[in-house]
Amino acid sequence: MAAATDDAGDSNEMIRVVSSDGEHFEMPEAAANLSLVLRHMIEDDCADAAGIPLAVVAAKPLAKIVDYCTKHAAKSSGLTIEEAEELKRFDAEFIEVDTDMLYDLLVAADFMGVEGLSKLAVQRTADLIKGKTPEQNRETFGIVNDFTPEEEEEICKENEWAFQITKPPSRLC
Amino acid sequence: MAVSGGDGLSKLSDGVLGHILSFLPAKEAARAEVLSSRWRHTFAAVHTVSLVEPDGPVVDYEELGRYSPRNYYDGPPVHTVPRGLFSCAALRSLLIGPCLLAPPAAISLPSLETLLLAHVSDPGSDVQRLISGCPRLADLTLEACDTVTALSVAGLRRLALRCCHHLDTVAVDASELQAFEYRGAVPNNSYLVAHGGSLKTVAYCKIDICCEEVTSSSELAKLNAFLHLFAGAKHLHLESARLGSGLDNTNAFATLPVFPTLRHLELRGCLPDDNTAIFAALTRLLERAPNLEALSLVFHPEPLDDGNDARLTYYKEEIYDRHLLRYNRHSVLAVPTGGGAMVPSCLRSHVREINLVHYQGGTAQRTLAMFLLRNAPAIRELGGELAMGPLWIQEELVREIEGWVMNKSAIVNFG
Repeated sequence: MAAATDDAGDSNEMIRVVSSDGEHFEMPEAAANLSLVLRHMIEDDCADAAGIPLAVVAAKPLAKIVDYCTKHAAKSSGLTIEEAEELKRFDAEFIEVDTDMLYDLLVAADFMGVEGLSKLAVQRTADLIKGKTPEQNRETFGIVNDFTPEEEEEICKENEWAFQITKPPSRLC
Repeated sequence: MAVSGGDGLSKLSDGVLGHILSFLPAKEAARAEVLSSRWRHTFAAVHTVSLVEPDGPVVDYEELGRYSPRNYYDGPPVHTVPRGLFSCAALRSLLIGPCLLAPPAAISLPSLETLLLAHVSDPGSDVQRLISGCPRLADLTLEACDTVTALSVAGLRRLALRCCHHLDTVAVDASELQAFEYRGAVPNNSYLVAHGGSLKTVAYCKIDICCEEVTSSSELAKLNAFLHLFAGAKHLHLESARLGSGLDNTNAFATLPVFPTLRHLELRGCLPDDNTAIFAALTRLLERAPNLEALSLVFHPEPLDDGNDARLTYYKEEIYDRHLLRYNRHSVLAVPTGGGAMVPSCLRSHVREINLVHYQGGTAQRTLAMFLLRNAPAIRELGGELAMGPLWIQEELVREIEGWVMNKSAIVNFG
């Protein structure tokens, strides 16, 4: 049982979820509501003591997601500037994960419909890709280049514009 | 960051990959096609493409050069937009910088909602054809597209036309239009033609008269006619070389419109010390905005002596070393009496928020600030910032400003 139950906000109802590898978690209803899928399940009265099964989300990423939702649900409305900044810091630390966890979070957030987390993970991935050559990106993400040199050349030629360097647009008058 | 053993990223769905690539500059997103066969067609799933790159990404150009027969491209920007872009079904947002569109005969962008074209060199008819090929387009920006002379648009919620100096007529089906932005010379009376509803539904209007200060009465009368189109605005932004845009000219603006729904007025321009016309200009405008709640004045830096327009270099580093404050503690602040300087009723009863941005503290600016603040008892919020300069002058100016605020419990966020 790896429950994250701190600062639960107003909602006292705890929602139980079960990971694909059979581990149970619980979080406040307000936190679960951040997931489109869980919200619909709750609305349809599918949230019972046995827990909502999440077939494609393993325990490791699910624990993270429960953390994320609990934190964000507790601080959802009427944020002060300090609280907003604290939440930003939380997000920044939260997404400092290795690429394996990042893929898991991308898939799980997409599947569960947790919009904020999806955006966070997508932005993090884009930041990792940004400013790198294709070779560097293959290395970072363990992507195997399965093109023949001829094929690769053809794609480069097709996307020639993408490999050119142009000046930034001139200013308006 | 630990390097992963497996290639989990390539197992993600097209939708997620397209989402990731949408967060990248277009060129970097397109470069991803070369990573592996999984990535070959991911670009088609991208929902946002930005070919405008004001801050080029930090790239190892030498390494990148291996992939391109022609790198370090330095001539005029004439590269052509990839044709595939014009049939991206998922594309919602397309921002195109200096380039040649050369759109194919068949354009199919069924999801496109936001389109920005800047410095595009195609014939105007091609630009029109692209715009017409986007049935869901809601937000259109044209910037410095000199080939465009006539434009016809429908169904837009936002239209921005900046420095398209050869654009003569814009036919708008204005039934949905909520926001309109214009930057350029004073437009002719026939510039904007609205079909299907008047432009009075436009809630946000920004008019920026660029280049030289307009002084001729005939030009100002055209500006007056243009303003009449937007009398229903809630938020009006008026920018020109001089603060006040010549609204004190009672001949040209004899029939200045009434803005019954105007809540927020923002004026931008220079206010040098020899300018007292601003009082008449501002009071005339405020008198016609009985329900105004927020007033923002943004003081442009004055043109520098060496002939460089400070507006252009304002964002550069070196400007920070220049001293932009013009404070003389001994000058006498005297609001011009009679004629223009009556206190408008909205200031006395409605204005809750005043912002003074890039305040340089010259005599005219201080007099104006004093006049506004000492006549605004309903103020709840004073915001803004000072121009760069020595701290002691800034502190004196802030103290002076705070002293003028009538409502002592107002939130002051000025410094």
